[in-house]
Amino acid sequence: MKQMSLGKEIATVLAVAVVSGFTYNAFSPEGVPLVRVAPVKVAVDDAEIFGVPADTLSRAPLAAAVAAETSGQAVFRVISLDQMKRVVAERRGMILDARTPSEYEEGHISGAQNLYSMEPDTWVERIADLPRDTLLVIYCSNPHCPYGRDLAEFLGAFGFSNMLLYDDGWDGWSAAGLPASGGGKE
Amino acid sequence: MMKAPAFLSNRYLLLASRVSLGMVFIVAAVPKIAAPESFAVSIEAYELLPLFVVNAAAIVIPWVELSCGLFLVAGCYARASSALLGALLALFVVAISAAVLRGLNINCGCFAGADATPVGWGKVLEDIALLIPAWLVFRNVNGPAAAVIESPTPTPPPATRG
Repeated sequence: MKQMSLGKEIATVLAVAVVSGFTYNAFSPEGVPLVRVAPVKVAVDDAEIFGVPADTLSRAPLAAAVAAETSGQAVFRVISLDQMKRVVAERRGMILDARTPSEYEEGHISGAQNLYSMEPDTWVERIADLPRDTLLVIYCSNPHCPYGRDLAEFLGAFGFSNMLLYDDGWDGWSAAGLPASGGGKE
Repeated sequence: MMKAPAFLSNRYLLLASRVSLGMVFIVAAVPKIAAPESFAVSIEAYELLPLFVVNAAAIVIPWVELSCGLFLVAGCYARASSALLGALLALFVVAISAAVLRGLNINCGCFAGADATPVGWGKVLEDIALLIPAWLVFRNVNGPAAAVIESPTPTPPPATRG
């Protein structure tokens, strides 16, 4: 029996993998789109976050993002560093750190809770009973970090409708020397 | 050229290398196939690939792992499978090292949902260690112990080697 060349063998194995992968993806309910699209981010006005008294904010609808929702694609409502400072200072909503537990331990925004997006089993009970219109302010490391958006999408699917993403994340916050906890600080 | 030590061609070592390498990749592939979005998020977090190819990578990589793993366990296409897994492992070593060197504290994504271990030099060493069985299988496919590596390949007569 003549042995197949290495190149042909590799091509055969790769063909099996690629065809199986795309076929399975096409029929799987968990399948993903073939092309990942850049997230849609919408800046949120101060008035929408702070225009109403703090104690009623979590009940107020945030209209800008609702208007920007297009074709079922996730829309992330992004806040700036100044807005985030005010959110923290006025203790509005729940601040959620979507990064890994070790990153959270090393340092996080004061008052933030760690809901690492890749391990929902470890925290889902903590948010299960929260009113679904609770204001959730989510952050990750920086605008490239996907965990914050991932967490927002998970919580959105869980029914939460009032979320903000502080897109500059921990990198932006710590670079500005703002109040932090963890890593020996409190 | 210096001759490799004889134990590197030991049939039991090769059998163990082929089957264990195959099993590791089957176990690694299954959760990624079950949750491709999670794996895509892990790939995206490395910040190495352009966004538009992230999902294609999340679809294909686990199936390459699974196909090669199954072929290795079954003992066919072992040379190609070990070569492909070796290339994947080398890619993982580069990706994880780059993440560690850039100070990214991200989930490895190595075993997807079941493993939320952050990237680190330990993960790099794990992948380098897995390169050893891949290399052993690859270099011995046509050797005297070929029968334990690739069942459909006829065993060449021992006299033709060395």
